[in-house]
Amino acid sequence: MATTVSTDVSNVPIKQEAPLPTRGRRIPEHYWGYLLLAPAVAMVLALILYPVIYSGWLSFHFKHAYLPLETFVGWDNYRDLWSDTAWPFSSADGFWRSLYLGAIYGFGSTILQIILGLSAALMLNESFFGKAFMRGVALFPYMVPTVVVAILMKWILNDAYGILPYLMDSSGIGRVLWFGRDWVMVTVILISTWTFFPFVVIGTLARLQTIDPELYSAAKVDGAGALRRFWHITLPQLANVLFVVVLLRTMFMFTKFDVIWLVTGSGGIGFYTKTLPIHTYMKTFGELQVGAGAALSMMMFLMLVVFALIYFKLYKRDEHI
Amino acid sequence: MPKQTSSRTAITSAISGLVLGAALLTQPIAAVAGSVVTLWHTEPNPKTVGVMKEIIADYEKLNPGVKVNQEPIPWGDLDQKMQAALAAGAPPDASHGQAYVERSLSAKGLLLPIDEVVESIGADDIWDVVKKLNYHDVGQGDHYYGLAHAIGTDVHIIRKDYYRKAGISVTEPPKTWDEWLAQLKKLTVDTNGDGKIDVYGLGLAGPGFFINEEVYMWVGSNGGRLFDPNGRPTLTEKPVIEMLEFFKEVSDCCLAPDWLSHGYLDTFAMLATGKVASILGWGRGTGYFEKYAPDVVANRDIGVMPGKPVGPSGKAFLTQLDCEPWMIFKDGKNPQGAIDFLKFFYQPDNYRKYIQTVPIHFFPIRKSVQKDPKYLATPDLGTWKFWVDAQKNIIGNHDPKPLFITEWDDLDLPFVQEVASSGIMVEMVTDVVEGRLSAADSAAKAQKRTEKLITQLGYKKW
Repeated sequence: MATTVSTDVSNVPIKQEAPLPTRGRRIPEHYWGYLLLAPAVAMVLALILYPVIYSGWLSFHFKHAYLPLETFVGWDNYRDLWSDTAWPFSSADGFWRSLYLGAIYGFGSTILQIILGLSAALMLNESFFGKAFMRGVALFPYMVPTVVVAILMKWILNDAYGILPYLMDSSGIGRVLWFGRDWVMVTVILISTWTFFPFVVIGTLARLQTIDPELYSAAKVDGAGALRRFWHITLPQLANVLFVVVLLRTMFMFTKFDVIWLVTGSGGIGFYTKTLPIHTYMKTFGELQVGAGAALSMMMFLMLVVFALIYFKLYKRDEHI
Repeated sequence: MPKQTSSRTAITSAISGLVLGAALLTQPIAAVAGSVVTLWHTEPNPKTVGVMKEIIADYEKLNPGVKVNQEPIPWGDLDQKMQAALAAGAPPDASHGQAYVERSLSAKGLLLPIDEVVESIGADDIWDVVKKLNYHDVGQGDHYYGLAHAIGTDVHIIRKDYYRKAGISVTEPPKTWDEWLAQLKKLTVDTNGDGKIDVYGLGLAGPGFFINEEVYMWVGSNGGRLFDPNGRPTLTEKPVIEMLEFFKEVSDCCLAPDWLSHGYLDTFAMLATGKVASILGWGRGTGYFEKYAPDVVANRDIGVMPGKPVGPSGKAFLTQLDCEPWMIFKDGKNPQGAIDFLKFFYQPDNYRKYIQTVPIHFFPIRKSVQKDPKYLATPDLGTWKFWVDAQKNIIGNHDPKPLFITEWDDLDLPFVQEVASSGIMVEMVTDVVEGRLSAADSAAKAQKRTEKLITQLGYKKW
């Protein structure tokens, strides 16, 4: 039985609510907005703005990590960074070399994560038996704690007792010293790629599932092959998501500390993976120079801000956003 | 639409209530924190952790309401974790540490005297070398600012089967670095003729902490020191440069190409599995050998050299004295509780149980425990008697010194901890062994960096 429901409410009289009985003075409604926002603003100020400002303030001081030694040194900490320009990079031990290594690690691992993550997302977007299970498996590396990943990989790749070097050696592929000087950066990049590519899968797969299938049908009718469909439909549709994913992953990887620290540590072979976060940590907690460490972290912060601004500008120029 | 309004009084009351609630909540938290004792120690092996658990349980039974938390931390990670904790103002109540860390921290007023613990044992029952390390004045008269949990020495551990095969004595240590290098070259071999090296003469650990060990032991064995009497670094002096050149030679000929990535425990595994013919290490290795190479142990193919070689400018070798003290942190949440627990820890039965978890690495600091028949009946002391004898010989006759201390006076330098954990010495070595800089250039660079660090810390006295 069909029923009709009138949606016209224009004639319904609005019942005036009686003012609540209160004892004190009343606060105008718009103050409530400020009051309700206040905790969030306070949190942002306390947790984001204050540390950045404090770090900036520290960077102009020589400060011991735990002793009450604190002297204003002006731009000295920054000058130290700037003047540390030994060349070639392989024989320097300071800021520029760490920046160089950080750029290799950050961009290298981000690019591989995008390639692997996007490929996995495209595969997982297809229909096949066991798709749900494979989607779970694809997310697995992201769920494993980083420390477990580091220990596992160190076991698997260890030249003395690791299974992979053993298999490669015994099958005649040859010996690769995964933690040797020539390979250690590649190793760290590969471990990071494996650990973090599911982030890209999650982001892109969600978007892939919302692309209208009719676009593909129409393209097929027009004779477009798989590659052209990917290039002219999938990629443009993913552009917004990829923009955010690339931005976030680059920032995350450029500031990544745990994977590198756990896999290669501070000394010995860690020389070849001493990116800016590791260098900052060593300055702060190794040499106990908090001011110099703060200067390094401020440089990292500013570089990321500049990177983000340029990235946004380029993207806007291409009118994708 | 009517304006919604509310009472300012109501908001004020709510905020006051929250503040009051928060204030009240902190009270019980503070009270609970007062009855918790946090200990950091450097024995993460399951046996020691298990015995510590038993000791803690017994202590908690005797002291209802007190909770003791142990946190085992690997040696290589301790210094920086401790520094991060101090920087955050949240040190544990008690922790193991290097001798130089105790000196550095006590000089900075961060440690409490531990005299009560020494008195509870009886100073006469403690070996002199232990007392000498931690009894000193930081401006308040002489006090103990630490007390070693055990003592031991670093030794040259060898695979006797490989040595015999190479025609090298298993009882006579090489006298000089040249002699040692020649032996290591002989021991580095391609066993199956495929053109690849299968056994390396020496295995060393690559993390910074362990490279620091080699640096100071080899500089000391070459007649040098790391600091002059004024505390100025002496890295550009001949003994240091010769040490760096020797390190490069050893690395080029006789260490695995990726040795810088090998952890400390990896070196034990490599000796046990025959990937290296010798390592520098500690008595804890016996447990690993028994577990992972029982056949090698049964054949008595693990040996220990009774001494170490001397560099071209040295007269006597220097090896490391393991003598890490318990320290009590003034800013811990419950330092007095930690002192009380340590008195219990050092009681003969508890202490003996602890020592027996790693019996070849841990010599008791209590004379009475060393003579205790229950201690002497520890089976490992029979199996590994030669190892124990080698350490006794070194402690008794060869003046071993704690990490980073090439001269006893260096213990009084308040910045040794910062220099050791800065990574400067580690990069000095890796710059040379990886061929990035010559020994002289690397030493000069390290000298400059160390001087700058000491100056910035305000300890420059030259």
